[in-house]
Formats: sequence, C-alpha cells, structure tokens
Amino acid sequence: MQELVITLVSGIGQGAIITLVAMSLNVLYNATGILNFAQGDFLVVGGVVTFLVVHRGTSLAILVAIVVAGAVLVGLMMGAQGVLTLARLRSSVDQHSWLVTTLAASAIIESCILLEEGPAQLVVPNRPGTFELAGVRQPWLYPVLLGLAIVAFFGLRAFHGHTTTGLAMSALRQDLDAARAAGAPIRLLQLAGFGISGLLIGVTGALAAPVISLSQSSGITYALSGFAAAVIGGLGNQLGALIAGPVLGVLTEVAIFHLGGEYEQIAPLVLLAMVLLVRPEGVLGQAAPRRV
Amino acid sequence: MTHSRATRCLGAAIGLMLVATAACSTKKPSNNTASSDGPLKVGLMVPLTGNLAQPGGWIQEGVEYGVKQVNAAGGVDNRKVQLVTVDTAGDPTQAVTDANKLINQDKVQFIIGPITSDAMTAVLPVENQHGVASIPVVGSAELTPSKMPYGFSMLLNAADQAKAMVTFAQKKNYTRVAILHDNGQQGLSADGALKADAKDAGLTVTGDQQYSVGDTDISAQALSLKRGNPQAVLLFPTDGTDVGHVLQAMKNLSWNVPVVGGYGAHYSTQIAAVSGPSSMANLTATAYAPFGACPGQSAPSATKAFLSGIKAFKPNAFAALALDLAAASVDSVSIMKQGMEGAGSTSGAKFASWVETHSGSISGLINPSVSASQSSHYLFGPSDMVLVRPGKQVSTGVYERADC
Repeated sequence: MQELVITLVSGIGQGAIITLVAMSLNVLYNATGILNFAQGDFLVVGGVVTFLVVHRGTSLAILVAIVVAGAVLVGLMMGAQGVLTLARLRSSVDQHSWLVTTLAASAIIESCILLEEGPAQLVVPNRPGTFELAGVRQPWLYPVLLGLAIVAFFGLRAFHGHTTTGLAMSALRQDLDAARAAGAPIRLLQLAGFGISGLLIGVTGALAAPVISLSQSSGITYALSGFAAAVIGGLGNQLGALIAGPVLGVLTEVAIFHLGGEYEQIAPLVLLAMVLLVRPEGVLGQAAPRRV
Repeated sequence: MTHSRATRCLGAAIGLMLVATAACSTKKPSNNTASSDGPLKVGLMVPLTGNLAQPGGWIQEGVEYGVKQVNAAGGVDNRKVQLVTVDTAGDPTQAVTDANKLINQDKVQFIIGPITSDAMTAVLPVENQHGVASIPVVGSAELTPSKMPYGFSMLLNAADQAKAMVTFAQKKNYTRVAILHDNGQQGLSADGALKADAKDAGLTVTGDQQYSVGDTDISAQALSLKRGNPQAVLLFPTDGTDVGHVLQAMKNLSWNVPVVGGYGAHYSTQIAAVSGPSSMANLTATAYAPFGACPGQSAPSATKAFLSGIKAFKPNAFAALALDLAAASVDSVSIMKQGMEGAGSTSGAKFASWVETHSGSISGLINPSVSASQSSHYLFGPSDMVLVRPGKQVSTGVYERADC
C-alpha cells in the first residue's frame, strides 16, 4: 500500500510540475513557434521569489499573495524576453535566432541567480505542510499542483476557445499568414503568448518552491522534463501535456522503486523514444502536412 | 631593370626571414616549464557554478587563506604564491579545458583541484603529460598512484570512509544494512567499497539504491530500502542538502533507523535547513579528526587557531563554511610548500617521489599527519578520520565524536 501511495502521489505530484512546465511551453509554442530554453530558469525564478519572502511563520494568505506576485513578476520578465526575442524576427517560423536568444536568456538568468543567491540549493519551508495516507506523509503541494494543472488546462481552453484574443492566438499557430492578412496584431499576440506562458510558469515555480530543486543550475532539468512531456503529449496540445506529465512522474517513481535510482532519468527518455518511434507527432498531436 | 632590382630585394628579404627563423629555432623547445623567478603560479580548479558550487566555494576560501598563510611565512622557496582560479562548473569537459588553459596559457606549476573524481579522471591525461603535480579533492578508490602519479587527494578516501562506516555498524551489532548513495563517481565507488566491506564483515546488504544530486523527493528510494527491513542505512552523499532530503523522506515514511554517513553527511547546517535539527538525532558521519571531540574536551590548538584565523579572514563566509573541508584546503597549500621545498623542484615526478617517501615528516597546519605513500596518494588516511554526530557540536565547527 505504501508503494502505491508513493508511486501515485509522488509521481503525480512531481508529474504535475512537469505538466505545468509543458503547458507553459505549449502556450508559447502555439503563439510563436518558439521553444523557450529558459523556461526552466523562469520556474526557478518563481521559486526564488517565494524563497526570499516565505519563512516558517508566514501565513497562508501571505503565501498566496507571494505566489501571485511571483507569477506577475515572471510574466513581466517573460514579456521582456519576448520583446528581445521577437524584435529581430521577421517571422518566428522562418528564422531561428530565437534558439540563441532563449539560450542567452537562460544563461543570464542562471548567472543572476548565482550572483544574488549564491551557488547553494535554496530551501523553502513547506508552509502548507503534509498529509498522511497509508502511513506515508506527503506534501499537500502535490495535490494542489495537480489541481493547478487541471485549472490551468480548463482556463487556457476557455481562453483560446471563447475570447477574441485567445481565438486570435490560436489562429497564429494554424496559419500565420492568414492571421496577418486578417489584420491580427501578430507581434502583440505573440507577446501576449510570452506573458501568459510567464504567468503560468511563474505561479508554478512560486507555489512549488518547497518541492522543487532551487538553484542556478536546476532550471535546465525542468525544461528538459517539460519538453519531453510536451513532445510525448503532442507539441502544442495541452490535453497531451496534462496527461503526459503525471504519466512520466509515475513511470519515474515505478522505475526507481523497482529497478533502482539509476533508472530515474532513463525511464522518461525510453518512453520519449518509444513514442517518437511509434507516433512522432505525439500521443495526441496531429501530423502536420508539409508542402512539397 | 626595375623588375630585376625588385626581385633581388624580395629575395634578400626572404633570405633574411629564413635566417631569422633558423636562429629562433635553435632555441631549446619549451617544455611548458615556467620561470623559476617571480611568483609561483598555482592553479585552483573548483566549481563556482553548478550543483557543487557550494563546496567549491568552501575550498576556494580555504585555499585563499592557506595562500595568505604561506605567503606571510615567506612563500615557497622565497617565491610568493599567486593563485589562478578557474570555474570548472562541476563539468569534467570544462575541467579539461581549464586544465589546458592553466598549464599552457597561465603556466601554472601546481594545481589544487578539481573537486570530483569524474573531473579528475578527465584532467589526468593533461596533467600527466605535462608532469604537473596536483592536490585534487577526490575520493574514488579507482584513482590509484599508477593512474594519478603526481596527484595527492586532500579528501578522505571513499574506501577508507566505507571501511570506517562498516566497522562502526559492526561495533553497533548491526547485521542487516541498506546502502544509499549519490550517482557521482565517488558515490558509485563508495557503493562498491561498502558492499565489499559489508560482505567481509558478515553484514547482509538488504537493499542498494542511488539518487541524483539535487533530487528533492527520495521517497521511492527510501521506501524500496525500508522494504528490506535493515537495522541501519549506510549513506554516501556528496551534499548536505541531499542528506536533508533523505532524512525527510525517511521521516515521511515514519522510518527511524540509524544512518551512518560518509563525509557529506556532516554538513549539519545544510541538513537542518531541509529536515530540521531533530532529524540528525540518529545520524553519524565521517569527518576530519581535528574537528571531532568528546564533550568536555577541548579542540586541538591548531584547530582553534585556524577557526579564529579564517573567521577574521572571511567574516561573511564563516558561518556557512564547512570548516574541516576549508581546513584541509589550507593544509593542501602548506603540504604543497613542504613538498616543493623538500623536493627542491616544482616537477610533478620529484614532488610525488618526495611526498611518498617523506609523508611522515609532513604536517598540515591543522591536520597533524599525512598518510600518503607509494601505494596510496590520499594525504589523509584512516587515522586522520573520526565518526561524529553532526547534530551535536561541542564547540563551533567541532562535532561530538560518536565513540565518546
């Protein structure tokens, strides 16, 4: 029973973090075609905001305010990154300078975290505490993060399906030229994509701070995990990301428990490879037609 | 006419160039030997970024203090030590680049670092080719004198630590133990040593798990080990924060068994930040001998002098320093001085030969004895190590010995 609890609760909890990273990547990808290498670092920035303010005696109300503030701050930072990334692009589809600018953003953020907070892993007190299930204590944050992922999924679905801005952003991914011809403000919509992605990753980092690794070098791990989940679910597909994250998390826990910790990083990569071999567009992705 | 005159001028110029080149080439080719005048350049290879940046910083503080002490005493053979620091970022590939830069560009004559066995393994071909002596911070038993002929590690050997941990478990009458370690080269080396020593001691290993440095959730590994119902856990970490996450995972499983740890398990400040001070109630860890004492006993005078000296030197960093690692780093500079002056040379081969045969006469500023020999290039051996309780300090930076 304890094995089941750890596998499911830890796996889904850690998987929810991966899902949220993947969903934030998808928001940006759908709006701009850009995969942000700095996404994991923005997750860490959100966590650092919580680290700077929260201590063992902080009330939950203050904690919520900090999480919101962290989300807004990261949203603004990603908006600024968007301005710099998109400034020289005629079209994100045709040019790939974003590869360099997003990598540069990642390096700058990591350096800033190192200069400000030093090299040690930052530890944030777990204010929401733990609950007990089958004799095992698990952080409340795990089910909360799963709830956040589900809320984010439905929120984004409603935004893209029922708001003018959301519909326009969806149109960018489907046909950029048609959207431009229809008079959609492309750059503004793409910047909005950066901002929304930043809000999502910022709230994730700020909320999950006690249960994620917070240091200047840990961002890339989360970015890669999020990217794997996004690809497995189908790049750009939020339902795919919502499912893939917990699947990856549970698979990792099962692999560690039964095979050993040395399989912690191998298991997700094996799943990724298998999915790409069988269905390269991802489990819920759609194969894109290519003009020849 | 003009054309033939120009041709003659060109020919003369080419001839002069050839003569000049020939003259230069009669100079002896450089073997990367730096000048014996001027300061003694010493390279310091530590991670200042990445997962191991914190211990890298501790070593840097210690070495800088050690250089200050050595220079205050006149330097090495009347040459002031000049430190050239590079950031390996904990990456073996980066370490190779750094080593090449230090040796070929900066012309260092000695290297302190790097600080992981992986990085040292990568750097060894460069150092061996140029005959540069070094004091790295490595613990893997695979780094034998034949592989590391000019290097002497300042870290407690993983194999010696494993033996001490298993011996302690035996003394406590544990017959069933589990092993948990990180996935670095030293952790993997320690795993092999722990399994072998446990088998020799007649202990049953009920489970063996590993984790990645930086993991925050080690529940699956802990539950897997708990399933085997061991009487104690033999833990070999690199970082105190990881130890905190291990102890937290065990607490979440209501699993309260003694944990006997390697060197990284005595970083009590890091551990307490994650799992709280009370989590260390059942924790024992290896440490350098001058930093262990029984209640009521005074720390050695050299330890006290070091503590007050480094506090004055680095007041802002003092509270977060792993003091015994910083002390070993100070000693590495002192041992470098003694070795070079004893050998009368900066040559790696001569330094190594002298240290191997004169270790009995070498003493660190804080650690009183050196145990290196032709069969072991670890400066500090089993007699320089104690087991301590990280949760209990008898005085600042000095822990209560577990054998009190």
